[in-house]
Amino acid sequence: MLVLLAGCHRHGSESGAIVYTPDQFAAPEATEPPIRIAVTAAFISEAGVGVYDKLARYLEVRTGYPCKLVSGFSYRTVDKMLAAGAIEVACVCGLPYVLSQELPNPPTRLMAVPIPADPRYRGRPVYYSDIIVRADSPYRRIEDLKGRVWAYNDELSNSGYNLPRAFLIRKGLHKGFLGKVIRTGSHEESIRAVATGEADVSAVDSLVLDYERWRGSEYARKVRVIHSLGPSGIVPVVASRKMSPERFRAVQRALLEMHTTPEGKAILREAGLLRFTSAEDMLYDDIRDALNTARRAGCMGLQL
Amino acid sequence: MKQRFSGVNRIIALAAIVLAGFVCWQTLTYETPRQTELLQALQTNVRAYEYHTLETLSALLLEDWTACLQAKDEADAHAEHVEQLFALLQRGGWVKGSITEPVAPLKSAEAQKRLKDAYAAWLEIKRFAVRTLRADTQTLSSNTFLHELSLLEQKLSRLLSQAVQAESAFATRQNQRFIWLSWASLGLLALVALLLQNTLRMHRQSEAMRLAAERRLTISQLLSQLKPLQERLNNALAYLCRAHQTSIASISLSAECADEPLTLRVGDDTGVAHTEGEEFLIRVQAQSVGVLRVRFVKSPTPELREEIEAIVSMIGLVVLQESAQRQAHKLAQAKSEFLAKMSHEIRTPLNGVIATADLMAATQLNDEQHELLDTLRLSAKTLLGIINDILDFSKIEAGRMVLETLPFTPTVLVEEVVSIMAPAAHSKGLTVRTELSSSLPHSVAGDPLRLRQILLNFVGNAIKFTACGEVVIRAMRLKKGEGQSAWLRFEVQDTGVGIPPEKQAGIFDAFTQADSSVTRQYGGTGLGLAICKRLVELMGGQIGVYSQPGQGSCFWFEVPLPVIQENAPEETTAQPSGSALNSHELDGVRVLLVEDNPVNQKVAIRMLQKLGCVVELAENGQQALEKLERASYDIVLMDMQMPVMDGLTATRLLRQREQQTGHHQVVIALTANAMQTDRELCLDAGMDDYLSKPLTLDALQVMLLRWVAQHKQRAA
Repeated sequence: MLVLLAGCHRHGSESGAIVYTPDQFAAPEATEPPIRIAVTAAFISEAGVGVYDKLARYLEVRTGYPCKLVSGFSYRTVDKMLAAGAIEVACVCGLPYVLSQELPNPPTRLMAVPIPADPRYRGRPVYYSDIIVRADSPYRRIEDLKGRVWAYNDELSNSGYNLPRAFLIRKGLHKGFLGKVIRTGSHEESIRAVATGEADVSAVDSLVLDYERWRGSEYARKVRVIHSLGPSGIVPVVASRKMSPERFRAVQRALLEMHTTPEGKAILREAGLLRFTSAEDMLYDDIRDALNTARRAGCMGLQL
Repeated sequence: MKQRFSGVNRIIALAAIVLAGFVCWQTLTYETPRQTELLQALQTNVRAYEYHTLETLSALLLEDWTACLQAKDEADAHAEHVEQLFALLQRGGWVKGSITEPVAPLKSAEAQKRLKDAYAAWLEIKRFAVRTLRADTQTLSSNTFLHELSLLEQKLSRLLSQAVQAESAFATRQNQRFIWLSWASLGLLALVALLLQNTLRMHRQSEAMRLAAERRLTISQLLSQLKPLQERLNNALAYLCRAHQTSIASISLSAECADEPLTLRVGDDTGVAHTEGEEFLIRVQAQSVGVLRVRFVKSPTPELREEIEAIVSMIGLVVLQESAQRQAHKLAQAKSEFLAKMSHEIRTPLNGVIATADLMAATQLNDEQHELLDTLRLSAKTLLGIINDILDFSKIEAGRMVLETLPFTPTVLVEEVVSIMAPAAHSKGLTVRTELSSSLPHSVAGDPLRLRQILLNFVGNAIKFTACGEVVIRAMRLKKGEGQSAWLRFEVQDTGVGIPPEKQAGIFDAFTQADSSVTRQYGGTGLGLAICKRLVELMGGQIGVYSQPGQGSCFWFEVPLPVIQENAPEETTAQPSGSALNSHELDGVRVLLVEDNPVNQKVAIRMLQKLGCVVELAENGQQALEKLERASYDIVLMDMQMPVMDGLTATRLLRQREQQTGHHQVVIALTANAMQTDRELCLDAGMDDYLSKPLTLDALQVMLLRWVAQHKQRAA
């Protein structure tokens, strides 16, 4: 209840009285280990973590298993935790998923994919990589950004790194085009870096930018999109191969049926989603194409 | 003044209550020590967050995922806790746990500022921590974050310490202020108690004042009643005595009102232990006219003394008013008596002159004698008219003109006027005709004598100022009027000289005629129309004139008169009229004339004999009673003012005697006193009717015919 209220508060409800319950910070009493559900910075910003805490609580009720949300780790760390089974479910970026599937014994498997509610995505499980600059900057085209500072969130991010890298390679702008490249750790930080002038340009997850704008972020108001890349396969919900089939099926069923319950609908609406659906691996072929473009060009980094 | 004090009291009491409430509120929300404690808890939690973040990071580097996630959980919990504490200290809220209590925001403005800076530092730490956890392997392996995190933590700790110090200092000041406010509120509460006590005392006092005012009002009403002064004073003092029966044993009053002594005593102090009596002077216009003596059961309160003094002044005013009224009444009575006396004294010889002239005209006279006699009669009648006008006008101006309310028929009234004025009109070759509307009610209530006077005046003027042509008298009913009253309009139109427009406005003013030459040419006092205007106004009506010089005038008046009967009854009682003058209906009627004046005796006896009556004479009331004891008469004509016994006394004695016999003798007052009060006196004394002198043959005949007919009916 505390987290739910805290989440509401973070989503703009400033009028409610603050409720502090020290008891809530005590470890929950569980008969079996909780299902740890991770969200990476690829999909959700720190400001939106409350919504996914609600999702964890919802899954706890629907599945009967204790669930615990994990956030704040890098893509690579989450990958390793998934492989080790320390995290059983995660919303990861499409690129780490693609990379994990290239391994001889893939440590993860697809559980479900979300469908965004915004008409921009036309009811499909896709998203875009939006190239942003400061709203008051003179930049109109990608070509205007020669020698400028580029911010990215993570090397394993599809929208923040993979797609723009392939885009620059295909345009022939990869060799000495960018002046400086800085790592921010998350899309939210990339937006802040561009808005504050720390960087001139960045490529960010369109869903994160949408969410930041919806919640009235000061930084999101100060940037504008000059180009969109995609659409690309959306951030999937994957499960560790070490997750038991019963727990997997329970969580997957709860996700796929979420839009049929009032409580589930409310959480989906708050997260800007229509529903969860099952997906085939081929949904991420475009990510593979972008990755292969970089491999073929021998340019795995943005600054070469 | 009392209301103002009461208002000030209320404002001060309200202010004290608000201040006391403020102090209570301060006490209830006095949480600075609690907030200092929360600040310290915040500092502790920030450190715990940093510690667990470092634990997370170290486990992450070692890829000990279980330890990493546990440490991250701890860090997240502390981060949440830190956020909550920041929110509590910035905006306030509720703390739930083993106890539930409210927490107000930081009291100190400086502490709030430090807290704001600390929150910014906290966000920096959190962002740095997240970035660190999300850093790539190379960044992590460089191991520089520990130093940066330490710097951030030091900054945050410093800010929080400053906030703690600021809030503690504020707490100390607040504590001192609280003590001061507590004393102040206690003082104010004491003040409020005093004010409330004062208000209560004022309320009691005001209640006593209200009761005293009510008593004074009641006494004022008692004193203003239309009763003899002595009775009113007695009632007022009795009321005062009853109202203060626990304080006043008795009241006695002695005073003088217009030389009349007043002595009163109210209450009974026998057997009652009391203090010595006190005297209150009754003063009127700086002159003592009496004294009020009060014997108290116990010493009087200042309020009671004040109340009695107020009532004493009230009594003084009443005595003054009563004295003034009595003096005025005496003056009015003297004036009235003077007017009556003058009227009587002038009319009596004039009556003799006119009646003698009338009788002389019936004798054998040569032409010259006839001419001289006509002049004499005309002069005498003119003189009588002038005297009547002056008398009427004087009565109106003195406000003593009282209108009668008698039933009469408007059409008959007009016809009577025509019959009276027609001879004069015919003598000038003028035609007199009437236009009587069919809408006129059959009978109305009003003063026919005065209405006839107005019409006679109008018609007289019309005849006077018209050389040739006609005089038309119109009567109609107007469509206005409320309830049972009808507005009747009378017009008298002539074909005379007319009145210039500039003269019309003042035509109804006293002593005014259209032209001064008019007086010389046509005569008159100029009072006639002024009297008409006053009479119409007394009746609540309006009067006016339309006129064109050379074409004639139309004088009109409108009056509201209560309708008695709308339509004429099928069988009407025959009205005696002048047409019966030569009849023999009065032949043999026995009349007792009670009259002391020899001239009037002679005139009346001649007139009665001319009408065929059998007359006996009594020279005063005593003689009349004696004659009435011995014989019976159809009619008694009784003068009012006579020596030995006046007419009023004689009539009263006669009526007393008749109570034993059951017989009713018709008695008609016959007097030169033309005042309304005379008529009332006559009727009160038991007389049946009233005939004003100077007598005319017509009026005498009409009166006798009416009462003889009634006497015959009664006898039948």
